[in-house]
Amino acid sequence: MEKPGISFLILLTTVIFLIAPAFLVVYVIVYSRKKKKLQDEKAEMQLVYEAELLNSQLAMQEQTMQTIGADLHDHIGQLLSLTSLTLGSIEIRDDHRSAEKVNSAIEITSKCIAELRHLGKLIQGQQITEEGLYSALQQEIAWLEKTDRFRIRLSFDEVLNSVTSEEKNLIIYRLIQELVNNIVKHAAAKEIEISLTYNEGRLHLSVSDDGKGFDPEKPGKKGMGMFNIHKRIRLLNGQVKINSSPDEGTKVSITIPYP
Amino acid sequence: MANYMTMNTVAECVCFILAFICLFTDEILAWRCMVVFMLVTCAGELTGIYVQLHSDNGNNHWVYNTLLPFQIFFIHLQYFHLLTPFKKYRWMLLLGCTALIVNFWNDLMHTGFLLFSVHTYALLAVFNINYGLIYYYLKLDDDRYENLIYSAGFWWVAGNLFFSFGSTISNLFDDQLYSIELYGHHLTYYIFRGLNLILYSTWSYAFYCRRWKNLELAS
Repeated sequence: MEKPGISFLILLTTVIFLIAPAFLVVYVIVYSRKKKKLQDEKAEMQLVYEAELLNSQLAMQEQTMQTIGADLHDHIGQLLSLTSLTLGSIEIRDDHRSAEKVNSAIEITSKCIAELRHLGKLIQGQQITEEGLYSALQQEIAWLEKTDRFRIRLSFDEVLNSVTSEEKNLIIYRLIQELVNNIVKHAAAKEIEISLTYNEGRLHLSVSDDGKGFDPEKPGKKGMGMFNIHKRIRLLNGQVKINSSPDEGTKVSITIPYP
Repeated sequence: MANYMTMNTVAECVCFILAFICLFTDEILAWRCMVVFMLVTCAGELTGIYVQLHSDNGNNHWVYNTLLPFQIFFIHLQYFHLLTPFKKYRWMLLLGCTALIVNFWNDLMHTGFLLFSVHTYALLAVFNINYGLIYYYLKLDDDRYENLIYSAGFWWVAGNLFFSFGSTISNLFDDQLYSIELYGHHLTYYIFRGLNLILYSTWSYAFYCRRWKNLELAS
């Protein structure tokens, strides 16, 4: 005679086995739906990210066009005006003075050509980074120092001449351009310091200024410049730290896996 | 005639008719073969009843022994198709199929053709559970999304899992469950009727989903 307890256990086991597939089927369906939801969210985030990236690219293009416009107006336009004036003031009867003015016009035209070449190189970042990040940064600094508004110091780890990534260099170069551009536009700084060091597969970039600074905790409208900076750092899988307080300048420290 | 109209035979015949309507022109051989499988199953079930009613000793085990190789073949063929996207798991089916055929042959040699091959039947159910669980695991692990509510393969496997889980536990506790009587029948009678109903209902739905998908692809 079987004990009633055993019969109950057998019945319970049977019932569990009979309904187990139902739980299994429901679990697989629910899990699959959650997976689909996650996939959809991921795809949506990817779309938003691409749209933001496109926006930042457009903003960069716009910024580049503004730089070209300003340079054409401020430098090349003036040089050409001067050339025009010089050539216009030539008196054919006065051979000696005419020769002097022609030489002067040739000199200004050469300067103008040099300026155009410089501008061309600035626009074509890829070419610059092919020559090396250090050379590209020096050219950028030389260009900025022409304004006599800033004193810029560049500290560049020599290891970065041998450990290099052309692809990342272009993004880093644009990142520094963006940071410096922010300083030029908003910081009212006199000194800018750019430092690039390399340590154990990571590039440490810091850009600091002695400008008016800001309160990073204070909520406010973040400009396209900062947005682009964060985007670029995300592209490089890097991290950013911003130290700033009113009237005490700003220091942006960025760490990027490199090369 | 009433003897032939049991819940099992009705469920099987309805499933066969649906298989015929939905899968007869299917481009995949494994699905088309389900029509043949259901026909064989219906024929086997009706023959089983006929033999039970008209033979001297009422022994119809040989009919179900004849059905077993068909079940082994068609179930493995279908799993072989369902695991097409996960090719590296197909060796498992070949191994399982071989093991079942060897076991069936061994049973026939030892117990003869007239006694039902219980071991092979139980082993087929265990293998069926394993294949089903592996298929579900691969589905969960797969990055490609498929709406499982309308997935023919998913429901075909679900039916198999219901039946195999239920029949395994019923066979395991056969003596104890058989001893319990409810409304003039043993408990196992109700369990197997229920399992058959679930199996053929889910398979019918699976065939319908298959047809619906084919029509959708064609339009």
